[in-house]
Amino acid sequence: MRHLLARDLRLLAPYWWLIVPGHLLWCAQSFLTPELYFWMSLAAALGWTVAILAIEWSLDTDRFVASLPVTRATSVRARYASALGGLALGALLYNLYGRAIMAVAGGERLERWHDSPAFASADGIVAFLVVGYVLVVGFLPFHFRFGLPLGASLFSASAGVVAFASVAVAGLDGPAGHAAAVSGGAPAGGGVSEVIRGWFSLMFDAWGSGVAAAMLVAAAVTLGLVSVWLSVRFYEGRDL
Amino acid sequence: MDSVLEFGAVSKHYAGFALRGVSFSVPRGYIVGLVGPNGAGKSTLIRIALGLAAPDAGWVRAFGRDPREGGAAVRARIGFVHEAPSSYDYLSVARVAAIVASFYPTWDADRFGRLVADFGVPTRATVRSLSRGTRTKFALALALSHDAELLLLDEPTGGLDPVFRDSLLDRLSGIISDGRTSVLFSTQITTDLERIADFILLVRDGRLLYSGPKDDILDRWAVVRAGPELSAELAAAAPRGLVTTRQGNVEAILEDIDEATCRFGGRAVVESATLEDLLLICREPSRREN
Repeated sequence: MRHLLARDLRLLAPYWWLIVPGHLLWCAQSFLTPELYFWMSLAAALGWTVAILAIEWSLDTDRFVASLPVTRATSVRARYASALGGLALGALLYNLYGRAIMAVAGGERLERWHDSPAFASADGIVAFLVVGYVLVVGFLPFHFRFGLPLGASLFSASAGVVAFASVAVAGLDGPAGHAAAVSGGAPAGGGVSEVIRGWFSLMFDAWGSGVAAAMLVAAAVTLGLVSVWLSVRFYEGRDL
Repeated sequence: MDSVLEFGAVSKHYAGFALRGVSFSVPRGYIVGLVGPNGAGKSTLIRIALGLAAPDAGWVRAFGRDPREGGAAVRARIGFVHEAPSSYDYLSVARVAAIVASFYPTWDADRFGRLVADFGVPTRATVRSLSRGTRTKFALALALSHDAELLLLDEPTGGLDPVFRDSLLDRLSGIISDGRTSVLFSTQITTDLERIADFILLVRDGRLLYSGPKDDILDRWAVVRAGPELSAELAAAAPRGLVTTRQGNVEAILEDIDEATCRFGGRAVVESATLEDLLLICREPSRREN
């Protein structure tokens, strides 16, 4: 496993110099539209994982790696570990860059930031990690089953359908409204970040913090295990 | 004889191609040449041996274990060169070597350094900047640097200059002299196999036509060239269907040169067969399927 994680670091080594300024430049876009900061940061955090997958796909290295003394199950698990590590790093940068941008922003923009400082709160960071986690564990089985381009397309289509269905069935107003009520202001982010924060508040209010946290962790672990199991099955069944 | 790789009735179906019931073994301490025309199934056999593809039927054992289930432990004992070596092309040779080295507990950095120096592979250059031949040399250096007991080499001499090919063949002969290492070596350059192979696997259209000692072919087999009037008779006499028609004449491979001389000597040209004769006849469409 550690050889595969070290491999990922080596793959990105020529681009290390780009990560901090690139990530900053990307996130700084939200200086103009702070409501997008959550999604821009999330895209940047997941972008490095997608970059590694794109490198491997474009160079057709699956056969090369699978010929090395490593099991496909280990390759799959290492990919999850690498993606989740990137997500954790992205969450840290989400928080640090958010504070930095807010510190240099002023006037009207500062007020807009104050309306949606999700990056500065624990539940905002948790929302970032939850959405990123769901995207990672949702996407990787598609990747290991269909490869990068087709897998990404099918995942995007599936995620779109699920998101649309969720909105249609559950509606966004309830949890978002609850979040707004909890924070005492309008949910200026207006998106999934606030919805998730609202759901958390509802869960914590209904079940108490201990039970709600345990259920969240159990759900995340179950989802992750199912995702890894599917990915291993798919990848082991593929001829390279 | 101790076998490091065994195939038992292996079949594999793809759209437009199928391996059918292939059985053979690679004995420890020998070089086995895998010969056949393009699309015969050579690369598929090597991929199955590495566990990269699963047979639809039959079984495979590498060091006594299924290479797909044995996984890492089996592949740690195998050195490989794929037909079109691909790796992380934008990285330098040294970086790719560092990635590969980390997977092998038996990696010998000194040996790798000597090999790339001997092969003239620039370690600071990116892999994508290397010529096809130099990439193959790099892949060979990787395969030879972790004390592998089985080398699976898919067309390793393609794109290599004759001088390097010559030294590579010497090196492979030297490697097996320890009695521990075996080589399965696919190529269409039959002179390479005539020089170093101990055993030959001849594949055509996904079928194994011959598996046995190279010297049996070179010492006993005959190529018979005759006019079209002997076409039917030669087709009936060629037990493996190795018959073709070229420029109006018929060529067939028979397995006993003495018998072929007795039977056809007055009516046809009978000569000792070479691996090149086998390959040329294999490249023609199979008469049985036409």
